[in-house]
Amino acid sequence: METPKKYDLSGVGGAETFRDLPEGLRIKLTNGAIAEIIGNPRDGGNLMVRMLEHPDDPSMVGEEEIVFFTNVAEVL
Amino acid sequence: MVDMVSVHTPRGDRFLRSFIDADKGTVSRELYVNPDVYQQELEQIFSRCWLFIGHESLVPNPGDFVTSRMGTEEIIIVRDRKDKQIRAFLNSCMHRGEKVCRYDQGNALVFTCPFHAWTYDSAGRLVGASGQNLPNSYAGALDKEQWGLVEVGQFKNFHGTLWATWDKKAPSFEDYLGPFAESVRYMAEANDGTDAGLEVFTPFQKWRLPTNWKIPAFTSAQDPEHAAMTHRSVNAAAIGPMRTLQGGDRGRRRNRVPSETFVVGDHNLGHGGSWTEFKAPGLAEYRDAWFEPGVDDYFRAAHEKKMEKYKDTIMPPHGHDAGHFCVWPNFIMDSWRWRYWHPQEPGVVERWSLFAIDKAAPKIVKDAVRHYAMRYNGPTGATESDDMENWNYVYPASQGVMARRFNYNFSNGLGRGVQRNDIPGALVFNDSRTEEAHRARFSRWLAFMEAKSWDDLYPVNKEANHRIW
Repeated sequence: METPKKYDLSGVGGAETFRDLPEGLRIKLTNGAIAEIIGNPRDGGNLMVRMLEHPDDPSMVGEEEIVFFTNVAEVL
Repeated sequence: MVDMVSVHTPRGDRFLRSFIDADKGTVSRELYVNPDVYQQELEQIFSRCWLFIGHESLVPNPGDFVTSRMGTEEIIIVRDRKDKQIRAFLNSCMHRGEKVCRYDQGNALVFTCPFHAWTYDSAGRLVGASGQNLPNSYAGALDKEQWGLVEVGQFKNFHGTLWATWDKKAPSFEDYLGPFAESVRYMAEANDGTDAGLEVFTPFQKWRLPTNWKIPAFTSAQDPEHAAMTHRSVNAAAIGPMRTLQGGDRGRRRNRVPSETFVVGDHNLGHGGSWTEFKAPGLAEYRDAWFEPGVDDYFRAAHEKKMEKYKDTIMPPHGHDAGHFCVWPNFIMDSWRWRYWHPQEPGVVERWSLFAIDKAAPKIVKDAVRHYAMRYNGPTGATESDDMENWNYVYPASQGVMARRFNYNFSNGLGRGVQRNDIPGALVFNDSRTEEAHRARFSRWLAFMEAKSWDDLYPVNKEANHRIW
C-alpha cells in the first residue's frame, strides 16, 4: 500500500494544500527543475521560489522566480 | 493660447467662462450639477494635478500596501520589498482590467489578478501569468517588461506626506505648492519639531456624501461665516475644539506671538485659506487644553522642544493656531486633520480623513487624540454631521431646471483683495472673513478646464495670470 504524500497537490484538496505550502519545501516543476519555496502569497495560484536545479537552463540556478501551480509537478 | 471651452446644458451649449460672473462675484450652479462639466473635470483637473494620496506611515515595511484614490481611479501605494521605495500604481490588471488588489491595506508578496493570474511584484513588474510558458498558450512570448502596472506619472514623499500626479509634465511638487510648501512641511512635523515625525490612525475614515465634490472641497477652507450658524449647537454644547466654549479658561490655544490674520487665495495656484502673518520669531507658550491625565504633560514637553527649534524663526502662516488651507484641488490640511474629497459621480463625493499624531507619543496621548478626532471630525462626529447636513441638501436644491438658472454668491470681499509685491504669483490677501480663497479656486478651475496642457498653466508657464476676479 502506497504511503500518502504529506503534500498531495492532486484532487479536490490539492488547491488548498498548494495555497498553504510553507517556505523551505522543495518542489519539482513540470520542466524537471527543482526549486525551493521562499515565499507563498497564499493566492492559491503562485509560489515564489529559488531555482536549485534547472536541466534546460543551468544559468537559472539561484534565480528567484514566480511559478504558477500548473507548472508545479510535486512537492519533494 | 487657450481656447474657450464649451459644455452642453439643457438650455444649449455654453462657454465655461460664461458660467462665472466675475463682476458680480457669482458662479452658476450648472458647474456643480452638469455631467459634461464633471467629465471634463476628471480629464482636465484630476488627470493633471498633484493629488494627496496618503502618508508614509501607512506602509512602514517592505511589501506593505494601502489602496488610495486619484479622482475616480483607485491606486495601490506599496513599499517595494527590494529597494524599500514607495510607489503608486493604478489598481487595474493590464490584461483585462480587473482589480489586482481588493483589500484596503495589508502586506503582500505579489499582487495576483484573480481573473487570469497576471501577477505583479511590489515594484509593479509583471512576474507571472497563467499559461505564460505553455507551448499552446503564450509559449514564453509574453513580454513581461512591457506589461507592468501603470505607475503614476510623478510621485513625491514630502516629509512623510505622499502625493502623485498622472501627468509627467506637471511641475515639481514644490513649485506646485508655491508659497504653501513651507506650511505643508511644518504641518507634517511632530509636536516636538521632528521632521516627518507623524503617523496616521488606521483604519482611516471614508464615507460617501450625495453632493458634488466642489461643494465641500472648494469652500471648506476657509469659510468663517458658516460656523456661526452651522456649528452653533456644537459650540453651545462646548464640544468644539478642546471641548470648550470659545474664550474660556481652557479655550482654544491662542498664539500670543504678534500676528495678523487674513484669508488668502492664490488665483494662479488655486490654494488658499487662512494665513497668519507672524510679526516676531518663535512660538507661543503651550496652554493646557486636555482633560485626559498626562496628555497635556506630553504636549507641553514636546512643545518646549519645538519652541527651542524655532526660537529665531518667523513661523509659517499655517499650523497650530495659525489656520488651515486647501491644496488645490481637493485637499484640506491643518495641523491634525487631513481631509480630501474624491469625485465619485456628479452628485456623489467620497470623503476621506486622515488624523495624525506623533509617532513617539505614548498610548494615552494617541488614544486621547483619536477619540477627539472621532468625536469632532469623524463621520458621526459633531461638526462633520453639521457640515454634511448642508452639503447634502445643497445638491438636490441646485439640480432642478429652475434652480440651476441661478448663480451661487461668492461676492464676500470681492474687490477688496490685495496682491503684494513681496510675494510672487497671484496670492491675494483679503479680510479674515471673506471668500477670497473660494474665488481663487475658481480662477484655477477655469484655467485647468481651458488649458490644453501644463504648458498653458502656471507655474510651468511663468507668465500666466489666471486671476479672473
